[in-house]
This record gives sequence, C-alpha cells and structure tokens, in this order.
Amino acid sequence: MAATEARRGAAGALWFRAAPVLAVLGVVLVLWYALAVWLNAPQVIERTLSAQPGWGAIDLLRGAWAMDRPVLPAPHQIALDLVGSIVDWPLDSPRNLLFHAAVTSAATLLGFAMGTLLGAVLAVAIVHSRTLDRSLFPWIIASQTVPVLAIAPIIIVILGSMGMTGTFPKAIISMYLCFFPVAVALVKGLRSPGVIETELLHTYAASKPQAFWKLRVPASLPFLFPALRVGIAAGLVGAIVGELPTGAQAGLGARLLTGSYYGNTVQIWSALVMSALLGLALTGLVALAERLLTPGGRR
Amino acid sequence: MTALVALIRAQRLATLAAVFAALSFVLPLGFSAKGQALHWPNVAGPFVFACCGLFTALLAVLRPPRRLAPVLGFALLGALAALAPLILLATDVAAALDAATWRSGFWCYTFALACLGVTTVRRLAALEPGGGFSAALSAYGTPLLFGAWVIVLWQLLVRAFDVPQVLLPAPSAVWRALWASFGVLAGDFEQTVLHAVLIGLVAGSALGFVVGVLIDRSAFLQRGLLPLAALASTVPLVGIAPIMVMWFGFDWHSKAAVVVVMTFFPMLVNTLAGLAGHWSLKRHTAGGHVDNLTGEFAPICQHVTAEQVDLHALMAPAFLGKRQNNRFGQWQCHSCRGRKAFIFRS
Repeated sequence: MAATEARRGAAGALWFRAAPVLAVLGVVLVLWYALAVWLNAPQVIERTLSAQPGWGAIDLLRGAWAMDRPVLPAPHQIALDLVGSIVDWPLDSPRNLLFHAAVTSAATLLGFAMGTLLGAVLAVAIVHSRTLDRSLFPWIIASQTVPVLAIAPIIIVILGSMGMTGTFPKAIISMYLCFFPVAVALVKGLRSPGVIETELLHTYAASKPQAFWKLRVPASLPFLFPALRVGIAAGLVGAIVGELPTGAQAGLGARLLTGSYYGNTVQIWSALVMSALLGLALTGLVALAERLLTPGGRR
Repeated sequence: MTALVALIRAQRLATLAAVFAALSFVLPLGFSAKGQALHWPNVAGPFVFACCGLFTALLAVLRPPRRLAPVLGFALLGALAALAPLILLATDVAAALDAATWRSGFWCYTFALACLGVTTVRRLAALEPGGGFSAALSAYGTPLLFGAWVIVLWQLLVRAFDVPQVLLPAPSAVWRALWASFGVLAGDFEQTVLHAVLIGLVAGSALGFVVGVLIDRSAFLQRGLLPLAALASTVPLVGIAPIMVMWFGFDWHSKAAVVVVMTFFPMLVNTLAGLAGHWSLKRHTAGGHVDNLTGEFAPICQHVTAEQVDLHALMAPAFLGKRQNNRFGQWQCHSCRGRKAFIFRS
C-alpha cells in the first residue's frame, strides 16, 4: 500500500485521501435528503398540497425541503440558518450563534481550567497517599455514574441561592465532567515510571520533589494530553447541560432549549452543528497545545 | 514517660481526637431557654455512646493495630461513637435548646469524630492484604467506610447548622424520601432501565460492533467514514434528546433511541481499535502467518481455513480486550499435534 501511494503525485495523494470522504459524504447527503422527504411528506401534503389539486412530485420535493418547521430539516436549510445567523445579525445580538458559542465556550474554558486543576490535585494526592488511593479513588469513579443532568439543577439552585449566577455555575458543572478523565489519566501517568527509572533517580540521591518534577511529571504528559482532549469535549457537554435549567438566556444550550420549546427544528439543528464545530475547535486547541508542549510531538 | 510521648507523636491525629473528645465532656454542648447548660450526662442515650467515643479515641492513641480483627473492631467502635451526636440531634433535646445553637462542647466532639474517622479509614487502608477475605475487605471496606464517614459528617453539619432543605437536604431526609416513594421509583426504574437502557444498549452496541467490523473490512469505508464519524461524535448528545422525542414520541422509544446513539460511538471506536490495532498480531496468534511468496496472511497449516483464523482474531480483541505484550506466540493445531512457535516482527 505504501509503495503504491508513494508512486502517486502530491495531488494524487490528496485525491486518494479526499475521495472516500467525499463519496461517503455524498451518500450521507443523498440519504439525508431522501429521509427528509420521507419524514416531512405527510405534513407537507396535509398542510399545503391538499389545498391545490393536481400537485406533482416536484411540488412535494420543493415543499419537503423548504418547510418552516420540518420533522427533519434538509442540510441546506441548516447551513443557511447557521450562516444567516452569523452574517445577518451583529455579534452581540442573541440571534447570532457566535454570541451563544462565545457564552458557552467561556463557561467551558473556565470549567476546563478548574477541572484540570482539581484533577491534577486529586491525582497528586492519590499517588502520594495510600489512604486516599484506597478510600477516595473508588468514589471518583462512582461520581461519574451520577447523571450530570440530575446534578446540574442542584448545583444551579445551590449556587443561585448564594448569589452566583451566569458563567460560574455552568463552569462548575463543566468541571464535574472535566476533572474525571484528567484525574484518572494523571494517576496512571504519574505511576508510569518503571523500576529502572525510579532506581536511577535513587542512585542520584534525588529528593522526593525532584523525582516528582523531573521524572513523574514528564512521564505523565503523554497520558495527560489525550485526557485533556476528552476532558474539554466533556466540559462542553457539561456547559451545555448547565445552560438547560437556567431559564434559557444565552448559550448554545439555551438555543437548543428555545428551539425545542417552539418546535423550531432548524434552530435546534443549527445549534447542534454550531456546538459540534465549537467542540472541534476546542479539541483542536488542546491538540495544538499538545504539539507545542510535548517534546517530540504527539505520540 | 518517653514511651507515652513517642506514642503521642506517632498517633498525632488520634491524640487530637482524644483531647477534643475529653474537652467535649467539660465544655457545655448548648444552653436551654432558661440558661441551663447541657452536658453529655444530661442525655442518657447519647452519653453512653459519647463515653464510647472517648474510650475509642484513647484506645487509638495507645494501640495502633496491624491485624484485621482489631482494625475492624476499632472501626466498629468509631461507628458507635458517631451515634452520640446523631441521636442527640434526632431527639427533642435539640428542639428545647436556645435558638438551636450548639456550643463549644458539641463542636469539640464533632471535630474529634472527624479525626477519629480519618484514623479508622487510614488504618483500614494501611492493612496489608493477606488472604482473600482480608484483601477484599481492604479493597471494598475502605471506600465504604470513607463514604459512611462523609455521610455522618454531612448529616451532623447539615442538622447542626440547620441548613435549609432546599439548599442541601440531610441524608436522613433523602433516605426517608427514598423509602416513602419506593413504589414510584420502582416504576421509574422499570421505565428507564428495563425499557430504555437495556434495549438501547443492546441495539446500540450491536450496531456499533457491526458497523465497526464493516469499516474494518473495507479500506474505502475506513478512509471515508472514520473522519465523518469523528466529526459526528463531537456533537453533544444532550441536544439530540429533543429531536428524538419529536421523532419517536414521549414513550420509551425516544429514550431508547438516545441510548442507541450514545452507545454506538464508544462501541464503534473500541471495536475498530481492537480490530485494527492488533489485527496482524492477532492473526498471528490465531494461527496465521505471512506467506513468503505473496506477502499475504495465510493459515499456518492446512487444517484451518482463512475464515477461521479471521474469526478467531476477530473475537479475541473485542471480548478479551487484552493486548498481546510478548513478542512470542504459540499456536497449536489439534490435527497436526505439533506446536509451532514463531517470532513477530513489528
């Protein structure tokens, strides 16, 4: 395979990579449009076409792909809604999806920072204390079996009664999801140095802090960054969940909620696409940091 | 004397617990409306348990046990000590107190209890796992004991500070609510777990497994579908819930559909990792080898077919999930009766 690939030119290699993606994408789009017709057809026929006799297949297709509140919106409707909301409205307008994305990403990033810190502190404590390893670690794992959807309103009520609203409660929920992968991966990473490395530092008469900073921390980096990528994606979900019970003021979660209140499916789908893009951007950010910070790049 | 100092120095936390437990017998627990001070001897039931607490704290200073039975007995005594303030809070003595304020004696005992709790957890964790039973006890007992102490202190602090139930209910209130609405919760369990989760889980993982195998078998799909699957998996699945309700209605079908979507991606990713990552390695261990002439995988002897090799290789990673760490593998054909060992080239 490698030999045949080397024989192709640069453009050929690009085509070799892009063609399957494009083909599958095309198939998905065709299926999506077909599914949209199939799901929307009953409503189109009932609402508009039954009034005008003698309608044909073209009318049905046109109606199904341009419905106001479709069961499944066509891809171009979602794309138009997404682009329209960004282009037509100023950045600080609640109708602009970038505004909501900024609100959500602020909560995500704050929660991610707090969660990473909490996870790191927990991991260091667990690695150094047998008591915490035995008593606390099982509860950290158990904490993730509690559905975050149930925790979110509790946290919002408690913090709200303390006078904290806005970004901070959402960041706490996002932290709750973020700290777990970081803590687990760091515990694994900090313990990854083998007997040989530990004994080498022992022969150098390295102190415990020296052994920690010069052996354990660098050894944990390859474990840390994949966890951070998982963590920031989980943090985004946490921030969106945190926006659901707050009464829908701003943020992608609020956008999803208002969309489902008013049955505005196009809005739900465009908010979903926007949050997927945001998740991609945030994960990309962490991957970039990984490439810059890990010697030798991504492993 | 020096022996006592050495003991105290070795057991600082337990000494702290003993000192504060003793203080709680001297200082007033609270004041009644008439201005009368409340002490442990004024309340019969809690008094017994408070004495037990003082005894336990003193015992903790004197003897750091190493074996299983004393450690367990120590944990049990600590649990008895925790009963004193819990009973005190539950009785109507607390209601008769002046504005329900707790004084220094009560806080001293609570602090002593916290120290005692940390000591018991620490000792159970430090237990050297010997046999099967004590190892299991150390592995499962430590987190359970830790959780129990957290619940005890939670109950104590919430009741003593009289935290509004809207903010943080006491564990006892949670337990009462759980017991009272048992029937409703059982119905919810049936609806959520037996309908939505089980059906969704089976359907979602089956779908993920099948799609994973299909992607793995076809290089075209692997290059085409994987980037799109990665993109789709960044969609926060909470947002899918309202769409699923719109499509499948308010019954359990919509919930099962969400579960299907949520289980699909992890299953797909892990199936692919199991298949692709160690595919060639697994084929080796399953009885295949690289043919010298064609450069392709072939069964190692004529008694197995290529399909059998593939099937064997397919099942191993998905269900065992174990990596083949050693570079040497052995495979035995039952017909040839000859063991063939070979070395993997990575």
